[in-house]
Amino acid sequence: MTPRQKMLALTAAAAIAAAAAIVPLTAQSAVSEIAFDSADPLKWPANIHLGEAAGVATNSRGDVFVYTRTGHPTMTFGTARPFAHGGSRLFQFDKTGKFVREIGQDSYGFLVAQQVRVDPQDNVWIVDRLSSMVIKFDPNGQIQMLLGRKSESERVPAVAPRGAAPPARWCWWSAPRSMSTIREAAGGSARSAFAPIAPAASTS
Amino acid sequence: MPALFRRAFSVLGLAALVASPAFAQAKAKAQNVPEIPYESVPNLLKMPPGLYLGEAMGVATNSKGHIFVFTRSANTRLFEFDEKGNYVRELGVGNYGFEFAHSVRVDPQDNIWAVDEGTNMVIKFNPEGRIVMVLGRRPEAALGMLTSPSGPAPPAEKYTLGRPTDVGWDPQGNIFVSDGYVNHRVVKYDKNGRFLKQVGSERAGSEQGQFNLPHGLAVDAQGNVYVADRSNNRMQVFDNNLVFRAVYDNIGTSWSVCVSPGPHQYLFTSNSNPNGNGPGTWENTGEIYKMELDGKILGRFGHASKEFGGFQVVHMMDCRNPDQIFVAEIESWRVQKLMLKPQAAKVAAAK
Repeated sequence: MTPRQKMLALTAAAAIAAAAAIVPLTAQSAVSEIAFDSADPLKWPANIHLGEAAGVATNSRGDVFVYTRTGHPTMTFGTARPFAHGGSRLFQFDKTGKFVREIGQDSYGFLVAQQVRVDPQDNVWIVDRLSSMVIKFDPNGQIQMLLGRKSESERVPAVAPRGAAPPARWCWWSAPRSMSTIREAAGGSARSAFAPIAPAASTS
Repeated sequence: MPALFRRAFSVLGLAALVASPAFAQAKAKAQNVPEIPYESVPNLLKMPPGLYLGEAMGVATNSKGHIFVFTRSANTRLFEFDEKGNYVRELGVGNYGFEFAHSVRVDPQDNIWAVDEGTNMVIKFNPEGRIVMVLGRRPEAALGMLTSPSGPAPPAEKYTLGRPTDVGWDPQGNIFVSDGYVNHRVVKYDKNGRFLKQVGSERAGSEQGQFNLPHGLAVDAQGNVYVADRSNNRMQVFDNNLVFRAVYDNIGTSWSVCVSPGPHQYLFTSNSNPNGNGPGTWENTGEIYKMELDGKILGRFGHASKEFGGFQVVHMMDCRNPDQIFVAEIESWRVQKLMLKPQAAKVAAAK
């Protein structure tokens, strides 16, 4: 194909794409409204609360799975590496809305719920946005497969005490030689203190 | 060497470290190694309803065959199972030293030692599950978050650890700690935790007696220390005074080592495929090598795979019985018990 032919082909493709984009828009005015009733079928046990409902799916028996952002998402610090914990839970209800169970309690990969899907074999798959993981549970709630890996630690900006000296230097003065992992203490600057903490080179 | 040159060298070394990927691929050089057949025991650990393993970082057995698993779930937790895999209990619930699991080992007296790289601590539990000794110290709350993992490390200190990785003991009860991701050394403490000496330092290096991420260790009945020198793609051997003895560099990347007890001791090392990499995408093919203590390879088993029976990043092994190997895998969140059939290994010249 010569460059000129390529250009013509591209132009034609662009025109077709543009036309395709316009047609559905004009057709949409003719879409009829589907009437529906809404119910709130899920009967929650005491002290379990739905947070942001990120995903819902049903299995072949009509059981309902809800992957929700709830509880307390937390970050903890041992050394300089912030570790993310919790913040999402996966619940199962039967088709009448009766609570059946929780799946994946305290799972390492449950941080920010994104989606739940049920495959044709009734396996339950969740997608988590912060852990960047896809987790497959079998119909009994046992983990069968993992895709992706949660970052060992999260990049978060360090927060400087208001009006105080740059944190790294402050840290150096307050706790000299008490921590083996002070790295930038001597050369610390306000700028580096506000920059994201670099991840360690090696993991696991 | 003049101080100025030393400084220049260290800066150059740092630049090289930063520029290179976290892991250099290292295909195992050993050729024609016999495959040792094995079967993985199905449904090994019976988790109670609502309890899940996260990343399985450490596995160890005690003299009764009980299985201890140190795992990163929502929080780092330590579980005990009996020899059949039935759940017994959780140890160290809520203790100050658990933040980010790395290793668990059981000493000859059945004490359980947990190594935590998130608090820089090694914690000794007696068989009843009480904490009886700690090594290292967790940075005080909030101050820890201001420490930074980038840049050159300050000089390694006697009693402060920098993301330690593993622990072992010689027959006299002296304690050896591999330390770790921040420091690059192995420390010898006496049985009461008093510092005796170290090999390596806060700086990574590739000479004899230097380390680049000492990631695991094991001690034999003579007190020799075998160190998984992970990012140098080798194992180093030291005598009981941490004097260099040998290097084994034909076994790929040594992630974890194990020495079996008994009159004829065997050495195991895992050439684990790196984190975040699918099976088959790296030169590190995930197999475990069985060796004599002198480095002679007897056979190999396993390969990288997410399937049951395969290995998705073996982080630690238990080899109390050299024909029944427990493996803890990071990326499959599971522990497997492998029944080896060494007598069935195909005879071939191993080197």
